[in-house]
Amino acid sequence: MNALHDVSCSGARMAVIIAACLGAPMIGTAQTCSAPLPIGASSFTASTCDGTLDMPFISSGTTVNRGPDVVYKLDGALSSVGWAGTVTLQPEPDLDLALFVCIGKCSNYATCFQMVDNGPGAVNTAGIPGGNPVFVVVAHPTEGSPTCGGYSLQVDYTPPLSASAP
Amino acid sequence: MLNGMSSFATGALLMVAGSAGAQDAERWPVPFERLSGTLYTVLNVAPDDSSYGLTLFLSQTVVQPFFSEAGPVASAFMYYVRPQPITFARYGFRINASELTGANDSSRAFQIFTASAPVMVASWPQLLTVNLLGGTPYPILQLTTPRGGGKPIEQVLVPLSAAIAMVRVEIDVGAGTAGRVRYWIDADYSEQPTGVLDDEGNGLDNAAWSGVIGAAIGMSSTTSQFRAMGGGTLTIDQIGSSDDLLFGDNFEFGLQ
Repeated sequence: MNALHDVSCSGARMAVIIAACLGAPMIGTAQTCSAPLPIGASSFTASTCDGTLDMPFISSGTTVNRGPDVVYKLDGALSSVGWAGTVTLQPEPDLDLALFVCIGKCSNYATCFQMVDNGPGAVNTAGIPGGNPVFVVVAHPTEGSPTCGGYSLQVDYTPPLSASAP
Repeated sequence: MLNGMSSFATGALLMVAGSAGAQDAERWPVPFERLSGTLYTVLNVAPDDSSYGLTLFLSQTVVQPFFSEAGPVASAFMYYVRPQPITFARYGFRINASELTGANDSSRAFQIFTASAPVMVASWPQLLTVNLLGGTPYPILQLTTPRGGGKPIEQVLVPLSAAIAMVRVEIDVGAGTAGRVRYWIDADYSEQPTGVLDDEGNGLDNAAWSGVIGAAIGMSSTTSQFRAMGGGTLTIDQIGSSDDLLFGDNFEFGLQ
C-alpha cells in the first residue's frame, strides 16, 4: 500500500542506496500506530489517502483527527542531546495536513511535543529531539476538505556522535 | 511572578516558562504553552492564585499575531498518563467562561476534557470527552461516551446556567450493564447527579476499553468558527481527581 512512496534516492547505485536511503520508507511496510513505517534521514512523497483513520485522537487524546493518517517511526535516536534535526511536511496546495512529533509508544494518548499545521499547502516543520525514538504522524485535524491527499516529507538530522567516532 | 506575561515576546515567554519549574519546584502547575508555527496559547496561573488550574489567554496580545489565525492543532492543556488503566475515576474542575468572548454559537466549540482508554474499540479510543459549545446566554457542555456492545456513542448536551460552573464527572467501567458515566454541575459527588450516561438506563458495556489510562484538561480541537470569533480568557481551576496522579505538562520532560 506504500507503492506511492517515491523515495528521492530510488534509482541510485546500490552503494549509494545503502548509504543515502538508510531508513527511507520501504514499500509494503505498514504505516499505522501499531506498525509505524520506519524512516531515517530521507525525502519522499506519499499520500494519506492510502492510510486509514488509525488515530481518531492525537496528542494526549486532545486533538481530533478527521482524516486518514500515516504514522512513521524514527528509531534509534539521532543524537544524545538537544534537537537533532527536523522533519518537514508539505501537503498539496489545497490540502490541509498537520504534522505531529510524539514520544514513547504510539497511541492516541501519547505525548506529542510538536504539533504544526500552517494551513492548506503550507510547509510544516517540526524539530526532532535526540536521545529517544519518536513517531511522526501526518494527519488531518481540520474540518475542511479534502480530507486526504499527497504530500512530501523530508527528514534531516545529524547522525549521533558515537556513530561517527573513529 | 507571572503577572504581565501577556506582553512578553515569544522568546521571553519560553525563557520564563522554562525556568519556572526549576526555580519554583514546589509550585504546581508551571506555565505551559503549545506552539503552532508562530502562534501559541498560554496556560498560566493567575498571580496569587494557589488553586490548581490554568488560564488560557486568547486575547490578541498573547496569541500572536491573532488567535483567529491559529490552526486546528493550537492547543493548551494539562494531562497525565497512568502505567495501568483504572476502571473507576472521578475528575472535577471549575470552568470560568465569564471572560470568554465570541462563544455564543454551538459551532464555536472546543474540547475541554478527555479520558482516554489504552485500547481502541470500534475505532473509538475515549471513555469520555467533554466539549464546550458556545451558547446563549451561557456555554453548553457536550459529554460523549461509548455505549459498547456495538451500539453508537452516547452524547448529551448540558446547558450551563451560569458562566462559572463546577463540573464533576465519574467514569465507571464495567461489562454488560455495569458501566456508566455520571456528571454533576455545581453539585458534589455526594449529591444527586445532574445526569447519567448509561444508555438510557440499560447501562454501558464499556469493559472492552479496559479503563482510563490518561486524561487531559484544557483547550484543544477548536473549531474554525471559534478561532475566527473567539477571544478573551478561559480559566479552568479547582482541578481534582480520585486518581493519585497529578496533571502536568511537558516541562518535566524537558521537551518544551
